[in-house]
Amino acid sequence: MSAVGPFKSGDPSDAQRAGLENIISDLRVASRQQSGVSLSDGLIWGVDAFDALSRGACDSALNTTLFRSESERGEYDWIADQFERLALIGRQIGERVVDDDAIDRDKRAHVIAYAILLTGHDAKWRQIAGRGQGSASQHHALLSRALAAGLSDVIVNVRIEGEAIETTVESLYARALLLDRLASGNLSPRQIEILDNWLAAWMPALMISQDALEGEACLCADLDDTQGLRISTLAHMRDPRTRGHRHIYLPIAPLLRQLDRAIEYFHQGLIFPGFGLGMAFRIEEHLGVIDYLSREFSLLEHDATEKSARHPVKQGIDVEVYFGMNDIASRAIGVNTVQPLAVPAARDYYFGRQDGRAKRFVETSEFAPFDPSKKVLQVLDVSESGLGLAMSTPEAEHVQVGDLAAIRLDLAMPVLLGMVSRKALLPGGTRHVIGINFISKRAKPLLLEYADDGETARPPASAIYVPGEDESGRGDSIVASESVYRPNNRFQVQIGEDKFAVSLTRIKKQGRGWKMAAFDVLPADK
Amino acid sequence: MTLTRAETALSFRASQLHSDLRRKRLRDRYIAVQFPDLAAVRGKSALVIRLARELFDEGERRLGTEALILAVQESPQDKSLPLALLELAYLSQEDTLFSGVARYFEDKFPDATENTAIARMGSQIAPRSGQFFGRTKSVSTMEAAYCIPGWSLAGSESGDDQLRTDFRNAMLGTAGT
Repeated sequence: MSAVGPFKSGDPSDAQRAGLENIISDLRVASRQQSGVSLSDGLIWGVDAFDALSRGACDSALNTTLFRSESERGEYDWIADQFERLALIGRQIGERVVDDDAIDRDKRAHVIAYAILLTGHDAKWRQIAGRGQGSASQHHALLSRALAAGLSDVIVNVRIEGEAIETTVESLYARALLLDRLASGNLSPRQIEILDNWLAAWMPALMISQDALEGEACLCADLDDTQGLRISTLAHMRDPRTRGHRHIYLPIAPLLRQLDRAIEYFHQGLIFPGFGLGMAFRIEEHLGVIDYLSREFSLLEHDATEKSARHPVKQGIDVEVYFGMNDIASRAIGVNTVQPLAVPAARDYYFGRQDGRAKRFVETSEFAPFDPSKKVLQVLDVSESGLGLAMSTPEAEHVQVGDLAAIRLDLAMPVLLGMVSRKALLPGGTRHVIGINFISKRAKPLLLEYADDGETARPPASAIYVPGEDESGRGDSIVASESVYRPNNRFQVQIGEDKFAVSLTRIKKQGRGWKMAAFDVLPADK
Repeated sequence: MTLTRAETALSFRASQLHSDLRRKRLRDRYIAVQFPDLAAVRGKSALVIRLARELFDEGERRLGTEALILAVQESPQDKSLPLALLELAYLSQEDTLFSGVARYFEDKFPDATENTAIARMGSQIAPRSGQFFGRTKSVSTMEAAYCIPGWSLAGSESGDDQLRTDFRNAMLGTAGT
């Protein structure tokens, strides 16, 4: 087998790439020519060597800037290709040795564990490279064979990013399925890597059961289906189409406890889990994973039905969509497109004093007949809490999870305010699905006037008022641009004849360029 | 932060990091990013409790709990913080969290007068738990259920409530309706 020096940080050289490709080629040859113990040892050796050699390439790819060039995207693709090839060979070798009685039971369990570790790597890099979720059949097939051979719960040691991890085939199977489910469009490549580091550290908690656990919230997978983990519901269990199918269940409560453990690390000034490529990433990336997992696990744990079911929509329904705080505040929220000409083309705002008289600031972007910021997108699915929209892949490059969005379903209806909660490649590879979670269906435009402090007075800032559920106003919020938000900064707000002072307080939600904050209402300045 | 791990988390002391600046900076950065508002009121228990209560009221129970745990780790001598945490656990019927925090509180403040009220609340939320069983005179269920001490309301302002409602009505065009 080949051996080349480990990658250093930075772009992998041709020789290093060749080294990795040689490992895969050697394993492919070995899978044809060898058998028994030597084939098993070959796979374990080869995967460990690949793990060591590929770390630099993975590190380099994941540390590229937010917007990647073609060549950097090519790097993701190249790594994803290698893991796909390696996973295929791993599966083939696993299938050959799983029932080979000439091989020690522990060794066979070790080989199956490595094979399923590779299908997990493949699942992860598919998501990182933006190829979307693959079929879960490859994970199911390996687990099924391991269960039949009584190897699924044998404790083995595998190497993940250089760290020796004690685990079982079952736990590695759960890791692969969780990567498939959790990394599908909600997390950035770096966050997917962090999630995988955490899953490696959570192995003892990734316990699956072949029986439904009474009174416990679970995810479940159908081993005779191509889908991965889904919410375990009574309806699904009673579905006659799945009668006779084999299911496995993964309880959610242990995952929540593991998430708490990760949070405790940060309280103690440590980065969880203390190993892996994610250790070098910014803390914001880790917090993104915490926020996402907290939300996702809590929803799953409390009640599967809380997450409103998505209903597919017939093709042909288009909606107007705006992205970004500025365009939404100036062009979407509160702008009436039924009678666009009735909207004033310009408004003037006080912004300072000159010779004792108020100077005026004229805003001209209230409405543009041809609006380049408006996108017309096709609706793919709807639910009570949001929408799924189709967007061409080049356009989707500019949209990120967490971006503010406004949607006009119909000219006569108010604009819906939301945030991008999901972005995933659709089959075919030319379009993405952009998931929008509604923030409010009753958002209103608002102008925040800065306090009058003479010559430094500024034009008012566009903002969005978001009414909460509570009629008292306690749950109300204001969405403002990142540059406008300052804790406890005082603004004047004129509403008809009434004047108020508001002070933005706690941030409730935030994304690229915007913050949604609670606010106190104070008596207006005289 | 929830449930069974809360007791462990409460026992951590932020002062342990004073000699390790790298870890202290990481913790500070975590708080600044995850709880920007908490960073602004660190050390001011009443304001931290107000923040936690607001988070709780908005359905962010985990974040409200975590904000209080972080504050306890920094001001372990201040009993108002674990008391607020107890009340939030009681209101959300988190019996495991309540029991854990109650054990912590009794251990740290054995002579506090609030321990009687905690035992009464404990017998309501976890009636079969040996931790609370038989430690308080039985009171009617209705009476006990409505006795909320208000520990999580410290720092709440009420003076601006009318203005807040006026503002909402003006924004939604519902004034006078």
